[in-house]
Amino acid sequence: MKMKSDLIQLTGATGKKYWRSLGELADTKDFRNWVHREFPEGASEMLDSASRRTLLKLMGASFGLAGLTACRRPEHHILPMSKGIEGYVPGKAYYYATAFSHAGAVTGLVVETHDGRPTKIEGNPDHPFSLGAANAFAQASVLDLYDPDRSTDVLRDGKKVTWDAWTGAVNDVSAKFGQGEGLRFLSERVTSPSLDAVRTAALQKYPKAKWTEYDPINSDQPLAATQIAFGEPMHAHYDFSKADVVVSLDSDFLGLDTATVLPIKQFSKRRRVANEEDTMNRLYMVESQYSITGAMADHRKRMRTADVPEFASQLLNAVSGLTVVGGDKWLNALAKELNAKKGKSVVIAGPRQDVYTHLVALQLNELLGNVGEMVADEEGVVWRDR
Amino acid sequence: MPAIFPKSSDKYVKMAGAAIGLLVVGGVALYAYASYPTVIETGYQPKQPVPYSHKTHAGNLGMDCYYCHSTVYKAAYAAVPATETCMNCHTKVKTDSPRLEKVRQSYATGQPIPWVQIHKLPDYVYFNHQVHLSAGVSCVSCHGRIDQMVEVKEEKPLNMAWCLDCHRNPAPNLRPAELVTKLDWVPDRDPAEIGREIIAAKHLNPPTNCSGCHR
Repeated sequence: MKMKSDLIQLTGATGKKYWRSLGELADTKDFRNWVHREFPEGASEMLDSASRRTLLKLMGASFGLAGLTACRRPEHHILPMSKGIEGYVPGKAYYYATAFSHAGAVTGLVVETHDGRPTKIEGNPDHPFSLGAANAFAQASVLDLYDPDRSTDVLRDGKKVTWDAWTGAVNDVSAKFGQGEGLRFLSERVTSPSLDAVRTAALQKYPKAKWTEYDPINSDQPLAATQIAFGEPMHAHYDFSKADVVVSLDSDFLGLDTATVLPIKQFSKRRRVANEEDTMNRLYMVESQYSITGAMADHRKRMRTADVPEFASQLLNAVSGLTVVGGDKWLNALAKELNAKKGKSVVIAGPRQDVYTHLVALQLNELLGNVGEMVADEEGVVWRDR
Repeated sequence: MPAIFPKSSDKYVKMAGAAIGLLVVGGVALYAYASYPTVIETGYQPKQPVPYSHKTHAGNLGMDCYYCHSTVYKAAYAAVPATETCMNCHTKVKTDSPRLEKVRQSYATGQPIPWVQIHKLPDYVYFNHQVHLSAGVSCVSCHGRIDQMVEVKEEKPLNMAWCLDCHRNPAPNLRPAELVTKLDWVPDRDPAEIGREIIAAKHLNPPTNCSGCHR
């Protein structure tokens, strides 16, 4: 009977299996225990009066004994290097320029190091995409270096091996591939020239191999849209500092969806009014969730993500002067303002939107005369990808 | 009812009270004395892993402090030299001395020599060697006659009152900046007068506010 009911449960299970933590996916003993306990270990312990008393006892004892450790001055050591580094001054902060790649966009950074340990990350003022600022992801990336999950050794089948073993293994493996039949490389999006050179060299050595890029945060949809529109995948460079009207179709360009540093600088520049001639820009936002951009918007319309494509085509119709079926006051006002500010607006679609919405956004920019003026940088309309 | 204690026991109660009072006062006084920096810090002389003698090198051989503590005039820290610095000479001099075994070992393996720190300020104090040296405060003012010490010990208390004494009246401790490592320098006239001239020339104004050092 027991087995049967288990089978019924299994046969009833359809669709995708979702999980919320790696522990749940692996279904480890610890995880089952954790679920069973309801409260994590230590949190439920306190409810028990006997163990609380034990805790207080231990605390009292450790406070009492803490004084004893001060009876002797602890010995501190100074550990100079065995062989010095030329020009290096211990205790002085050194700054290194580097770049941080996130979601396929690169931000120039300056990293502060103390005695060889990176401690603080800031934007590189000389980098055009940073101008001295860095976003939360870049700021937090310094913690990656101290991540306890980061491997500190070469591992093979989970066991520590030497660097020589690694070199040997690589030589062994690379000898087997020949022309590279059946060989696949998987990497994050290649934005670094050095990695690009490695890729070129690898594909030259193994002409039949394939290199695949994958990023969980990507810009596949806008690339696909530009592929359809221009015949090749391209990245748009928006210049928000010149835009009087900004329309965001589910794009959190001030928050999480882009390399936010430059958009924030450009956008906020147009929010500052220093003298009588200065005007402020206006931000329209259509989105399904609360985002930073939505919070900044002058006019925010909440809408299901799936309804945004329809809204986009309605907007396109309204801007073109066609009759809009199901359009409302909000839409008409927006279309009117876009038409009044031709060539001075930006329409941007977000990564959760499909190719269709991106195509409509491209068309809107084209129609409003933004391309080449607003949407592009000086070097050309858009730069080629790959 | 007869008294349980005779009248004379009053005397003992009073004496016991006085004894307890004295014990408390004495205990506090002893604690205050023993924990005072001049008592607890001054004279600290730990054993170093290598029996390096400052008297031999800086005193008898006359090596300048800057030769080993080479970053002291350009950084907050007065760095202890790398093993390489010792080996500059000791690849030629006393190459097989047993006292230098650990130095040779460190040079061969790349492992640092664990020198024991003697002059230690708390983490909440900011101290910068560079500014003190360029102002003209000699090493000797804070570290004593290192060039006369076979084994270095802490000579000054390094407590806050002692720092402030000099910050309030720096003139006696100042000398021309090029003479700061001449530990045996004797001024040919009143040192306070020389100090006043230096203060005027360099516009020195040592901070006496809290955030000067506790930043």
